[in-house]
Amino acid sequence: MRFCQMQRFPVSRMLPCAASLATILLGVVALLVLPSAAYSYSMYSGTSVGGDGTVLGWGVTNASFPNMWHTAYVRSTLQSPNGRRVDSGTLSNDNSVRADISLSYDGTDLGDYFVTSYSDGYCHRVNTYLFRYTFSGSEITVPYVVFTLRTSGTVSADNGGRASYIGYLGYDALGCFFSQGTDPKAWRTGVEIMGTVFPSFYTGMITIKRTIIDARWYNYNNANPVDSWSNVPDNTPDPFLRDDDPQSGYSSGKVYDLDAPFMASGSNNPMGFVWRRRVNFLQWATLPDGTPVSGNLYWYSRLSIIKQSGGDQKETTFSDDNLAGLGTTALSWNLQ
Amino acid sequence: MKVTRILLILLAVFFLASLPLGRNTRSSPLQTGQPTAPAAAQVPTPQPDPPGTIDGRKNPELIPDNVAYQLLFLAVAEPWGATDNQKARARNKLAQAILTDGDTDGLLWILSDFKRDMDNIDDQARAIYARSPIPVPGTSDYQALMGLQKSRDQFLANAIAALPARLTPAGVNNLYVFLQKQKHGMKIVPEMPM
Repeated sequence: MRFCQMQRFPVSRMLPCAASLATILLGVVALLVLPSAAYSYSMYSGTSVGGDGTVLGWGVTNASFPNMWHTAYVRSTLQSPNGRRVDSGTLSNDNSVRADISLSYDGTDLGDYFVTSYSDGYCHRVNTYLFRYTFSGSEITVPYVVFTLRTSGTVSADNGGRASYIGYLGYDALGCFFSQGTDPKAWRTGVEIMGTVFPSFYTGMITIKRTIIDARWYNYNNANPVDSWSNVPDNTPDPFLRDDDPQSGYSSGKVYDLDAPFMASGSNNPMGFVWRRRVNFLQWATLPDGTPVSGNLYWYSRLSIIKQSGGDQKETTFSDDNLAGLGTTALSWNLQ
Repeated sequence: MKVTRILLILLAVFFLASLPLGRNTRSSPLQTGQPTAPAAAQVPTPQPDPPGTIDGRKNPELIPDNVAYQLLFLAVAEPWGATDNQKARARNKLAQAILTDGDTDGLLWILSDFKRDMDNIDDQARAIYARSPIPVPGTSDYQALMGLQKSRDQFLANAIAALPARLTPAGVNNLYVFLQKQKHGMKIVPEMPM
């Protein structure tokens, strides 16, 4: 009956208690009327290699919420292949927080560097963790290669494969062109795969490798391919079309590969004969021992030609045919 | 009478349950804003991701671009008047994005604005929570917090929208490609029912 005694309190004595209860009720109401729209918290671990070889790692926790006071925590560690390790300790801040860590370049400590981060989010309204020890991670190799696919302009002057390319094809052009060199004279999609090496002063050899993921050949507008390749394991070009030395030609950290997929009619093909070719390539960079030191580069080539009395011409039924580009292409004859 | 008793019991339960509410930093394991040394040799034990977590390593396509931009911006942004070391750190973080110097300068300009705006919002929010730890809907503090969140979203949108004006088209594209790769290190944890 303890609670009933409150009824005997004078109203004036009950007011503070009532006010307190009202506040609590409002707090409860506040919890019940929180925005019902989906909301979320996020975390992120990242790594990079600077031009000077410094390996950076970072961790971010974002625990912000429209009408809540949250504290974000993060703890990140960066570890080298030889076991060098740096730990940010646990950092915290309102809403979001970031940890920055780094290891200096060590030419004897090459390979995979790992960043691991643990994120917490704490809500002060309900005094509880929203999420706890949530892991995120990232890794990078040292050295590391980032690719750029060039499909227009001309072959880079510091590309050691440039002279061979000109010899084989007659020009240093990239993009769709008709070649005139020692290789088959044909319509081609010339590309230069440029690998930017981090750190830029790295002197070891790096090879850009290649596979054909898928290739299809078609005649005319026939939907059934006349030939088909899949997962050709190693289509790495000959050394004369590559530049594996990051310092050759005063490159300061560039390696290259060149390619120019082609399509040409045969002597037994009648006039008006149409050939179509769709190919998806995958390239990556490796050290001489085969260790991968890059992400994957996907690119494609599309070509369609028609045999005419004056020689092969581009067949232009599809406006987005006869080009190379990043990513993958539909393999069908009509690119659908 | 019975109803009153039940109501009073419920209120008492709410009251007891609400006792820890408020800015109780003592229950928080660490001091806000200060780096703290990790507990001796304690490496957190990885916990299973909360239900509904989006793991960018497994499903990068499920990380929305605006969330990824926000995380990347928070990771890279340095303040106006950054030291040379801070500037170098930001540039090195973006190294694999293969941006020109001009594009990098343009991006860092945007991010310094972004950081300033976000820091201002956090300062305002801190001031509100200092006087009103549990803002009640309908109050001016509550409305102010909701307004700050809208501002936060707007500043992020402004920063993303500013990219084409400050960077070349190639730079915007390279940054976008870089962003997609960064999603592999990102996670999204859904709001937990409390």
